Amino acid sequence: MDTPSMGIADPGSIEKGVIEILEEMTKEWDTEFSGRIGPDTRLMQDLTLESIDIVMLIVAIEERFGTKGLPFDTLLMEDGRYVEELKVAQIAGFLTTHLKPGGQA
Amino acid sequence: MNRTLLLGLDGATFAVLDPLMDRGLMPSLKALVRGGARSDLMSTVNPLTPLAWTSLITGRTPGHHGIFDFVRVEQTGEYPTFRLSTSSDIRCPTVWSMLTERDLVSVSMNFPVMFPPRPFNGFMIPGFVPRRHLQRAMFPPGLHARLSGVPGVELKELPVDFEEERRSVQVLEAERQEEWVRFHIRRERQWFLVMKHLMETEPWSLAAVIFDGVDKLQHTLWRHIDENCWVEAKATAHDRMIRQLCLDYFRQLDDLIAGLVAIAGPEARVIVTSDHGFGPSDEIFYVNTWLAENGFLAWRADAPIAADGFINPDGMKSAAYLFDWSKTRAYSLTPGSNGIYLREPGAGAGYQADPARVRALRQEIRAGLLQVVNPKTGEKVVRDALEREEAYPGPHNHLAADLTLRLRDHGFVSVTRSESVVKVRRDIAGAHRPNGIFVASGPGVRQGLLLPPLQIVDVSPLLMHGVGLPIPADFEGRFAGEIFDPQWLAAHPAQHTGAAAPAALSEESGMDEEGEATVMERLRSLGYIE
Repeated sequence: MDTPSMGIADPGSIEKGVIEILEEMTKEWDTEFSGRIGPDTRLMQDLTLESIDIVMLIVAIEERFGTKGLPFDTLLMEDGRYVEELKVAQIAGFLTTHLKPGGQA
Repeated sequence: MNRTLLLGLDGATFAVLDPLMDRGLMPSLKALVRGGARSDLMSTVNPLTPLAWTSLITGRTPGHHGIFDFVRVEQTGEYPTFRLSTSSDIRCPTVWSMLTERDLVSVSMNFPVMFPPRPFNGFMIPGFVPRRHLQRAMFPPGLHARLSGVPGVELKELPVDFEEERRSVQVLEAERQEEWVRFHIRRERQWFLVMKHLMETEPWSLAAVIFDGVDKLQHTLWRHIDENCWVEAKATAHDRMIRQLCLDYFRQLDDLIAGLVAIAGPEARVIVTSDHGFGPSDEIFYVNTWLAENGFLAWRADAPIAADGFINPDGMKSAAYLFDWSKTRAYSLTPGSNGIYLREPGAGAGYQADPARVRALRQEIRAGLLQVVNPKTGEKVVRDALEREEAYPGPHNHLAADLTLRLRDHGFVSVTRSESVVKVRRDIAGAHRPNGIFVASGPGVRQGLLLPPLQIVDVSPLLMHGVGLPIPADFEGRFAGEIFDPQWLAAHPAQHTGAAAPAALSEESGMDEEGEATVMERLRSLGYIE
């Protein structure tokens, strides 16, 4: 189960929320990543996310933050494919921008 | 105890099952048909898995439940994108939540659009979950560990490889056919073992599973499965081997049906349904190519021509990246929706289109589509193009495509780029049809009854009645009381509530935190979760 949705929050809470989502999502995965997930953790290289995992990550973010319709493609897509690398901080920054009042959510 | 076993055979059609029953390959299904009632089951307007199963388990049509495709199209950015349809996109209660209200236990296996699972009184493995997400997709937490200890259960067989599936239901090369069939034989057995364990160990009232290999095999192996397409004299040794494997799939499916019916026991109601039917498709309509040729859409200069047989872009790539959005007024993003969306180039998020202009553009496109012909046969390709208000009446139809196409052969449109608007397929493929199957048996059900077609929303009233619950007033289907012996029905009448089903989900994010917490607390008190 994903963590129940929460309201719009401050940048620190958003980053914490993203980290918790990724910890929950990847805790049973067989990866070589042994550190703690933090802002500089790379989704593809460290956590081995593939394109379908990004799809599921977006679902989890929508559930957690209780919002839909965020323009994730501006962050995640490049020429029709998912970007080759992404850091936790980039996702948190994107959400901070778009979840704040007046953002596009 | 009132119990109902719902066996979903995704994409099943009597056109395939009748010959198999006649040849003695599916004796258990035949016994159910002989001992009960059968009819065709008419699917949703667009006969597609996520819409249709959601209608079956909510009693509501798509305009009310809000699911129109495997994905939901979002037009909030510079250009449209799509996201996976999830459980929070369903706008009305499911039978699982209705049983939870009455403290009845459900088992729900492999139903689409159930991820992430909402807390409920029962056991769920949603359908269409990728391998690495299966464990957290199960409800209640701990179900994965519990099932892992069940002899014979191999949970790694249950998930879906989205990319492989997306490719395999379009084009399945000869060298991959055998493993594709064997995979589905193994997978259905796993669903059976999970169902068997839970049905034997839990006090269930409604146990439901979808065996979806029927659909997955029929898409690309239709010519091996359908008696009317199979030509023994022209078949290669490989074709014969594949056909035998497909028949093995249906033989095993029959065994699994028999096993679950036996576990349910003679006092249980058994309902076997599909979400839609199936039939042959011999052509591909490249809808975006037609839109481009008629000035409604512009391709990006680097948009590739699709390989033969493919109706989706390569890999997991979205069709959104094939178009020049500065010049595109109408587009189709996914084959499954058979839908065309309209937009105003450069308008961006929040743009409110003038309804009169939208209407005029829809009518202009519709008129053109109805004139499209297959140049080789001269037959018209598009039977109809329904505006969203007529295709999907209801409060949520603004989420549907502006136009929903019905093709001559009921196939899916291709959203890829092509040199021509219509192509004849090299090999006959299988495509969805509106008429699926319905079989019911159990206490009170008349034997050997052949009914006129039922609607897919007519199944949910029978599920509620089968578990002894009243039928909500806002169910759109009718209670098909004619399947029962009148005397038995008089002693077991259907109860109808004057009220709508409770706890409709909010448009934003499904069940709110308070509602979810209440259900969780209730489940804790019942001992279902810790």
